[in-house]
Amino acid sequence: MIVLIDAFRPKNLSLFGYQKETDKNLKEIAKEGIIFKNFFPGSNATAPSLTSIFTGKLPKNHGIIHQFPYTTDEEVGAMYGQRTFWLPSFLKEKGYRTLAIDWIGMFFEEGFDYYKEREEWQGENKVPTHFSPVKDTTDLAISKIKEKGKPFFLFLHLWDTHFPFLTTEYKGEKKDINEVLKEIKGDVQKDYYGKKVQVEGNELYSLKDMVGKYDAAITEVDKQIGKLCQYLKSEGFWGNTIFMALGDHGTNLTEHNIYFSSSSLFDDTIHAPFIANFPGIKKAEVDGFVQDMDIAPTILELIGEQPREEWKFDGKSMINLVKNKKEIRDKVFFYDGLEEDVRGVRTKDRKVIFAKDPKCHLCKGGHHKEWEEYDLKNDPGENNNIYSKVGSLSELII
Amino acid sequence: MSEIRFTEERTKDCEKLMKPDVRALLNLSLDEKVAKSLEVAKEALAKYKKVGLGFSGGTDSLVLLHLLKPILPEDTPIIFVDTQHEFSETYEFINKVVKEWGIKNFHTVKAPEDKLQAMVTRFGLKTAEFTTICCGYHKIAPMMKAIGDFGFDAFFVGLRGVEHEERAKEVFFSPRTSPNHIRIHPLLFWRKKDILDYVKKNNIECNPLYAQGYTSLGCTVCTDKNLDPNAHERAGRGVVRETVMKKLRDLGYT
Repeated sequence: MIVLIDAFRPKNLSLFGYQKETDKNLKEIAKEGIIFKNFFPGSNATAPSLTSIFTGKLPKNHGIIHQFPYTTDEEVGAMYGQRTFWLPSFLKEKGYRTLAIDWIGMFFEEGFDYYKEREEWQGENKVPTHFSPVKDTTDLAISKIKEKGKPFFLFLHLWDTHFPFLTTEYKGEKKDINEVLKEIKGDVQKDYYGKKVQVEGNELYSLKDMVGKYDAAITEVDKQIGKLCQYLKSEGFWGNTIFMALGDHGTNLTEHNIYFSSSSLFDDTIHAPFIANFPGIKKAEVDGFVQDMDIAPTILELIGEQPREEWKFDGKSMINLVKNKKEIRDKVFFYDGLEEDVRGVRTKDRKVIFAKDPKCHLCKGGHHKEWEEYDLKNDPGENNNIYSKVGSLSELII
Repeated sequence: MSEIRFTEERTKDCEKLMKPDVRALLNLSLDEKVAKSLEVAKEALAKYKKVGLGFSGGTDSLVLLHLLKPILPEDTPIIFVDTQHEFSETYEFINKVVKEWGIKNFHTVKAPEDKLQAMVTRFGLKTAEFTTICCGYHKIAPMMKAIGDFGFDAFFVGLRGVEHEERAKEVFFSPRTSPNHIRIHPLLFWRKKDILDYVKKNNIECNPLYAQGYTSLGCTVCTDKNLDPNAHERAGRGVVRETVMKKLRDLGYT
């Protein structure tokens, strides 16, 4: 079971040191299960990240670099042309009932016996009211599991944590749009945020209240994940279920002058929470790097399948890392799915970003200089660019 | 932001977007353009061992094939991507060219399934999602698979910069991934007029669809006739898609 939580970042979870307890149920799962402290998706956008999960490859190798609608037919063609493995199709062949609760569709529907985010599909007009609340999607997921029992593969995509943050719990004070825009620096970002708020048809809060809304959305997602796990336990499924709850990418809330968007490759956007339960594997807190391309090889190992050479996985199974703390990589790579051509590489204490073309498809500005390098030990907020010349890390992403 | 325009003004907009060194070549004479294109192709042939060429049955790739045939090794694979929805005239024309021009190593490639109807049902004809996924699956994917299967280091295509804003930004040697190869664009700086002049000068027979009013050829699903003499050459191609994409982008939709 993969529970993908959109625009989900560690900074706002107490599991990762946040002062508020937004994540009571995830904490419970982590008590007996596994928490990956250094999970870095290969992209800051959903479509490339999810393609990495289903293909076991980095974006540059599976082809989908950009988020819809900026994905080109060339990228889709590269993906189909080179694709030799697709997790849902593989599991279907192996006899699993494949269930997806999501709306993004496109080629992501392939291999699923059931693919909907609500029983009453909304048709073509999915913009702007495309998100269903987590209670509904979780209830739908449980009802689908109940239909025929095991074995199943469930992919549940939760969108409440994506702007405009679905929640009925948070009571902020609504403000005039012009007042809120005064809080935003720069005309490009003012213009973008103003448009974005209108598109989403959202009531406007102050920036501080929007952060509060994000936290409240996390709490609601967490509550429903608790309900889902409780259901699995009550049916006796939990001990034999591979359970993964993770972010497809993070998000900027207001950092780096980027407002409630995952554009850019700062840690806020490409570091995500990952909490898991693997049958037969003891509690573990994992510091080693993992990426979304490692998910398919890990699932394969857990169900006793061998990866084939023709699948050309970039990812590696996490099992040895979890059991024996044997690191599977010393650096991670990621690609910006919202800017034109920006990529990065990160070790535990350094990050280098190369922006060949930093034009942001969302705000029409850009978020990176041609070269950036950060000393993450002394500057975890990535505010002080220390790049001076091409080095061993920058050479890897030219 | 304005809608995509399908007039000759669009050609000028594309010219403005071209890299300065490529734009500087736009006003060369036809003979000079031929010489420059051959220079690009020869440089590619010297640099890359395993090369292939894409031939669609349209006039640009026809001119490219005619131009490069004398310098390409005789066994160079010539790849036609059959979207499975080509015009019957295109299939017939390609067979004729292969036979009459003595193409020795011709290959037709296509997607493993025809998913057109399923995609129309699911996404709606010519919506943004439909065209991206349909073109990606039926047209680009078989080409990418062929590039991987043949192990091409470089692949020649007849792309021209004035056709489209995205193509305007291209370079002669364009690196690609999935699979890793270099896309070679010897005709990058040719205008539509250069193509027509070359065809006339060399007395080349073209796809009969051009005589019926088509100015840019795709598959039967997304290609319409272009009957406005002042329109941009791609005016018959995917209008719905290009405007929908633009609208979504302008809205800042993620």
